[in-house]
Amino acid sequence: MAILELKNLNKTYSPTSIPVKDLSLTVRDDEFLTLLGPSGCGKSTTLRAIAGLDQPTRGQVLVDGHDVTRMRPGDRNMAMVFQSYALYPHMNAEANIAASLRLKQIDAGEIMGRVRAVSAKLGLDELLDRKPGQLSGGQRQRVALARALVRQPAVFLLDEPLSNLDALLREQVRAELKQIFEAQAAPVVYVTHDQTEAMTLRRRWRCYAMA
Amino acid sequence: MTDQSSHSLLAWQRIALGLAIAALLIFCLAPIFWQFLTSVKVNADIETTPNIYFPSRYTLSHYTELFARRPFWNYLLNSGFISIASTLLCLAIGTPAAYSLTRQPVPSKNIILGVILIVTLFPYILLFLGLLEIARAFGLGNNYLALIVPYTAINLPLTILVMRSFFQQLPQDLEDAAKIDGYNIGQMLLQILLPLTLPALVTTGILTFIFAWNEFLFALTFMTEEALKTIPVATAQLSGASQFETPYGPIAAATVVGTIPLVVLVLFFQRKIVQGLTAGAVKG
Repeated sequence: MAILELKNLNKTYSPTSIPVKDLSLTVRDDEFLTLLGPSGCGKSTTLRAIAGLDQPTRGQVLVDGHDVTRMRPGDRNMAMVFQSYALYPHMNAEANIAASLRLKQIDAGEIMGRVRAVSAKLGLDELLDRKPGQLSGGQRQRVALARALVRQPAVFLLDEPLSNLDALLREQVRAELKQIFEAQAAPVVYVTHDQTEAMTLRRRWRCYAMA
Repeated sequence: MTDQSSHSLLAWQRIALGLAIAALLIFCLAPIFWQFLTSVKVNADIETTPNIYFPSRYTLSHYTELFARRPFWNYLLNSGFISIASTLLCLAIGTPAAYSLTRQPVPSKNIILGVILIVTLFPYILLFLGLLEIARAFGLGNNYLALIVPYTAINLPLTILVMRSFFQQLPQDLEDAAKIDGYNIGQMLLQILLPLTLPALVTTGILTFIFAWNEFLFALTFMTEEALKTIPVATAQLSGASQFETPYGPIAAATVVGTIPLVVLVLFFQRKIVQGLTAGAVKG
């Protein structure tokens, strides 16, 4: 479906603080790239640059060979799952999941179909009319995941999506995640500082340890 | 032993607390209560010496006089329109400004914030003569705009500062998620951020409304036409049949009439504020 490429990506805050230095890599359709490293090593910075939330100082981000480096985050057709889930607190789960589709003014029937399909897959059917405040941590995490999956984006970006869950739940969700993303034919970039997580989730052996 | 002493201390404290609250309430509300009593007394009872505090005869004639013999509906509408327009304008300008000053890369942001802070410290009476000249130059005398524009401007700094502190409390991730979902800045502000800052909007809105509703000096100077006067000015200018008669009853009634909309507004929105705070429940 898509290929994500980074070419000589650089992010410089000051001459002595260069979290991302000449990073070049390619993530193909069914690849699950894990960026592993301690906090502050530039993995999140890389992810934010791919998403377009921060501009890289130099270098390019390419999707299917098109340069998206200067595009707005919303126009890049990428979905992102945040560590804090970042659900909209005033909207119920259904509205959270459907938000991006409604903005694109997709036909209401299709939106409903897609939301149903995703929520069935993630076991969210019963929870769709609840607000994030009425959901447990694990449930919120699944809503955040559903919000990304429903878009059927060109690229998935996940920023430590499991680190807010307790240990037991984390293992369970990790297995689920692996299954879900194996079924998606889209590049996945996954940021974590947890080695076990990185090793379990990788599909092809593409695990960048960032210094 | 300890139990007993702490218990008796509690009882003692409870009595002291009750007394303190009663004293505070009497201190704050006595003038208002006095105005209310005056407004329902007959003229004879108002003027006798010694004072009659709790009259035996009551009348609504002061109120009916306000609306039958004077255009008090008109004054209420003027005050209402000017206050609502100032409040909405203040929020419509102040909120995007506050957001920009929180999250957008605005050049020399700190200088702008410093200037805004200084403006709030500026005694507004000093602006008065300058504003009079400006209003005259633009031909805005006896025009609603002559009050709406200054009221908005005077309240903008506070609105911006309060809204900014609320925007700062919102997690950055929420805005990032909205950007990735494809919201542009306007949509994000309206559909994601404003619903979450509703309590702040209501609070600053009420402050602006109260200021505009009560303001006297500008309203007195910029509005000389009878049909355009606001409640505080109209109340102050109530006069009796002759130069030597002060119409205490109608003045008291006008004060009550002018206060009721504020009380209703605050009570109504106070419930909204509390609801907004509990329904938000972001943490969990």
